[in-house]
Amino acid sequence: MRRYEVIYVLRPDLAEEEIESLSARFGKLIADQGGKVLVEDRWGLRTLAYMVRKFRKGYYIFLDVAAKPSVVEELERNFKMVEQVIRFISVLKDKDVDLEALEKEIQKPAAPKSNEEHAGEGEGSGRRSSGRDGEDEDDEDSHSRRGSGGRNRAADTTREGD
Amino acid sequence: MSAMKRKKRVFQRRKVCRFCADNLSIDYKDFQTLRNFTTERGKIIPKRISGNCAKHQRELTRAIKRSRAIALMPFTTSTAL
Repeated sequence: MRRYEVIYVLRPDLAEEEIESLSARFGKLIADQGGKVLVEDRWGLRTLAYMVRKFRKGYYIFLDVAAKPSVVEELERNFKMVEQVIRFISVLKDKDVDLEALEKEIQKPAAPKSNEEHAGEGEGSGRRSSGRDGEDEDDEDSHSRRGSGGRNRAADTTREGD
Repeated sequence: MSAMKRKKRVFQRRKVCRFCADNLSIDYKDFQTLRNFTTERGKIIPKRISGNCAKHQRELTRAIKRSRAIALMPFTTSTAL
């Protein structure tokens, strides 16, 4: 079994029941093939960083899954078929996990949201922000330097192309 | 003379990789942290400027690209929302 993090984004104009049924559908798909959803975290409606299929917002759902590679393959195939899913990503976290050990771990608090994670690091974030001031100066510096370079811009467009 | 010296020191000050120094983790979901390593335009800041070590810069790049793929971070800001 492998451990994956899967995030999928649904269109923003879905009714509560539709989200529910889709989530249940994907959950069932994983369970039917011997996978297990450890955590389902609904981040909810968020503003997208850029337009996706002409939507400005999306409904984010995060899954922490222990399953075989074939299950994730099948899940991704389904994401592609289902129109309501506008974006998805699956990331391999651990190549070999033991389900029982994981189940014990779930008893502990679930994976935090990205926002909470940020706020949670009391000491660390304090130190980080002090370092950030220094970086900002560098930022502006890098900007003016790179803004003048036409070559970099060309490199950028090719990257966006793919 | 002394002013020049001070200026030089400002540039050399942060030579240590922040992820190594503070033992921070890089996560593609934590776009707020990742945003510190991009310009306002959304470009990834090169390590020669941010001071990251090669290992963490690689991880960071991967995380930012993942983050972009699910629209948590922008590829560019020219695509007006």
